[in-house]
Order: sequence, then C-alpha cells, then structure tokens
Amino acid sequence: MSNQGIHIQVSELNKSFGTEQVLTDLDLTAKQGEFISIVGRSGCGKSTFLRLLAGLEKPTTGEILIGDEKIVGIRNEVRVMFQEARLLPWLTVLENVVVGLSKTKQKKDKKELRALAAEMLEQVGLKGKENEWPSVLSGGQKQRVALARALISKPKLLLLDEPLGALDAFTRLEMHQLIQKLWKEQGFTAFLVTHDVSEAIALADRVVLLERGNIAMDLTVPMERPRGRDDHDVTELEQKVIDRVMQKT
Amino acid sequence: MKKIQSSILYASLPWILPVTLLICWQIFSTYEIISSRFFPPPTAIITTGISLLQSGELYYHMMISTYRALLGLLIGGGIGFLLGLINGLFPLTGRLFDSTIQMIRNIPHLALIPIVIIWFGIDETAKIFLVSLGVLFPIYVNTYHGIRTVDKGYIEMGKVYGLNPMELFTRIILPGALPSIFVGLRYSLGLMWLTLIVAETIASDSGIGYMAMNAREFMRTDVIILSIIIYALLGKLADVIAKVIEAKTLKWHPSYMKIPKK
Repeated sequence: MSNQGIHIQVSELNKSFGTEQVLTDLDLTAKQGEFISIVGRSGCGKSTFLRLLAGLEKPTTGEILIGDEKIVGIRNEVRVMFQEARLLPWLTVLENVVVGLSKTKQKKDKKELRALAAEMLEQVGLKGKENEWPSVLSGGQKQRVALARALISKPKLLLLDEPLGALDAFTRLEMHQLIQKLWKEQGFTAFLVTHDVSEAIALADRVVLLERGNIAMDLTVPMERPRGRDDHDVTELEQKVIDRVMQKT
Repeated sequence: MKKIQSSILYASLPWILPVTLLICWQIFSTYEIISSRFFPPPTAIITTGISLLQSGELYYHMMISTYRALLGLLIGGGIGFLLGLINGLFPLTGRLFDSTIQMIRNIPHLALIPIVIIWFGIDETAKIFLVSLGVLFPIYVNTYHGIRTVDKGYIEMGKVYGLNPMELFTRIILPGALPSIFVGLRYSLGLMWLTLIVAETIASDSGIGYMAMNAREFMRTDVIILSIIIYALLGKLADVIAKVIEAKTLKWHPSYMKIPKK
C-alpha cells in the first residue's frame, strides 16, 4: 500500500448558515489512509461537513488541517465524488476522465493525458467505453467514470458524497468492491457520506454518526475485509448504529 | 410486395396535395379558366426565372439580399451573443442591462421603419440596421438564458477539479449553453429574412424585395411570385445550414445522437 493518504485534523469546527447552526464544535481526526464513513439522518450536517472538507464552504469558526495546512479553499489534492456523477455530457468518457488531470496538464501533452485516462478507465472496468458519450452509460458506469476522474490525479483525500445512493443493490456491491480495491492500491484518506449503514460498515475503518451537528457515536470497525453482509459482528454493529439513530425521533 | 407498394404510397402521401394543386394551377392558368395575368402558370414562372438568371439580374439581386441578411445577422447576432454572454456570466452587469434590453425588445422593430428611413435614408445602413435589430434579441435572450441555466453542479465539479475560469467557460459554460444559443439562432434566421423582405419591399433600390416591388409596377406577376419563392428557398436553406451545424456541434446531445438500432 502506497502512503498516498494524508492526515486530517478537524478542531472546534462550527458552521452556521444565517441563524441556523449546522455543525457545532466538531472534533475529528483521520489517520493517514483511513477510511471514515459518516452516517446520520438528513439534515444532520454530514453533507455540509464534506463540503467544508472539500473547501467549497468556509468554516464559521474552527479549522480543518490537511497534513499541516489549513483548508481555506479548493485544493488540488482533494477530490470529490458527487451524488450525481456530474459527467460533462459534451465530452466523451475518456475526455471526462482527462478533466481530472486539469491542474497537471501543463506538464504533459494531450497524448500522454489520454493514455493515462485510458489506463484509469481500464482500472475501473470500462475498457472499450472510451469514446462513448456519457448519456448512453448506465448509472453504475457513470459513477465508475466519475471515480476514474476523481482518482486519476492520485488525490490524497477522496470525499464521497453519497455517490452510490441512486444505484441498484447489485451495482452498489460491485462499486463497493471497486472502491475498496482502488483505496487499497492508492492508499488515499477517504470520507464517505451515506445514509446506508451497511454500506458505511462494509467500507470503512471507522463509522461516525452525526447528530445535530455533532458526533454522537464513533465506532471502529475491526472486522477483516471483505466483510460479509451476514457476518454476525457486522450485523451486530449495524444494529447498534441503527438503534442509536432511531432512539431520538 | 404489397407491403412495399403501400410504403411507397405512404411516403408519397404528403406530396399528393401540393403536386395536384400545382397541376391544377398549370391547367387552369394555361386555358385561362383563371386569369394568367394574376396567376401565371408555373411553367411561365420557371421560364422567367431562367431568363432572369441568364441576364444576371436575379443573381445580382439575390447576392445583395444575401449580403444584407448575413451582415445584419453578423452584427445583430454578434452584439446579442456578446451581451447575452456578459450578462449571463456576470450577475452585476446582468442586473444593470437586462431590464433595459428587455424593454427595447418589446418594441416591434418593424415599427421603426419610418424613423429608420428618416435617420438613414433608404440605403444599405437602414436595412442592415433593421435586420441587426431583428436578430439581436432572440440570440440575446437565448444566450443569456442558456448561460444562466447551465447546471451549477457541473460548474462546482469543474472548480473542485481545478479548472481555471477560462477553462470553466470554454469547457463547461459555453458547451452547456450551446443548445439554447442554437434555438436563438434558428429563430433569428426566420426573423432575418422576414425583416429583410419588409425592409426591401418598402424602401430599396435593389434586392429581391425591390425586384418584386418593381415588377408590380409592370404587372409582372410571374416575377413577383418568383421573388416570393426565392425568399422561401433562401429561408429554408438558412434553416437547413443551421440544422446541420447544430447536429454537428451537438452530437453529444441525446436528441442528435445516432442510436444504432438493435
């Protein structure tokens, strides 16, 4: 495993929109290469937290350190996978992946970029689809392209904002395996926001439950990967998280 | 066999009526059942067309009309496109200019003909001004709208993936607005010919419209009908060209995609 990941330190993070306090005194540390899932009900602030990590929003108070630097805006070593794939419909699949190399392209010529993108597409299992338009791809294929676009620049931090929410169950499982494989290969630090507790447990080293803008639960997932869906420990952990979410209704 | 025959019949169905009408027109007019002075037979119109073409007169007027149309489109369309671009990209200038432009848009530009004649006389400037004014607004409105409605998600994605403002524009905003801009262009092409017809008919000393008005003085209905047909053909031609460019540029768009039939 390469040491591509980066250490993240969130301290005393507050975020409010107008009078509405979304995140309150949030503290969280992620080790280099750690995979953290963030779960919670709608409106618990998990998406806002991810946008702060991405540098798309600025904290009201508090700070986030990436490595030793404070996040103040969009950074090139951070990549986001959105809920919708957000592939540009006027670019081919390959060209969409090349978009992921935007910052590095001054150094390389077009041919090299395309070769890199083709290689990345092969890694996500889309060899042969290079010249298709995104609109002919299935939902799962689109997210694979988005994943290739996110990872082609070898980011240190990958943020996943419910990217599998719209996929069917089988495609989801496939994507889990793919994300896990690429995470092992590249070793980036990852944050996954999801409302699917079993997905959170299947992928992460730690599951963090957010509630009213703060951490309500922070569980380490000790089980070996790949984790079976019917594994006793997994289901137990899943039940524990769900119980905690449900008790406050 | 029967199926093939019926499919030929089906394909020719839309043409039956116009062809029948043309034949009736030819017969009635030739045998003076209707006055050939008012309705010269189609063959006579074709003959007139050929002789005008040979004398070079038709070519001269057509070139002048096309020149006016294209120059007007270039000026008006260019201004409309630029204004749409700037107002769409920068909310502040949009706020400053858009209301004013929308107010001017509500003036029927053909109503300006009398004052335009006073301002510019009946020379080229007047016609090109009117055409420019006519095509400006559809292109402006659709460019503005196209740019404002580009999916914000794409722009956010572009920012996260490190595109600079110029790349954001050329790779995301402009291609995203293009379908809407083409709608404006095609609408403008219709207005371009319409404006030119009116302008040339009322105040001109050359062009297809002038040719028709001049023919009226000599009761040359064949020349008038020929002019009308040429206008129609030019309009159709412009639309076809726009359609081809559109299909080439927007080949990623699902509605232009050639889907292989399975």
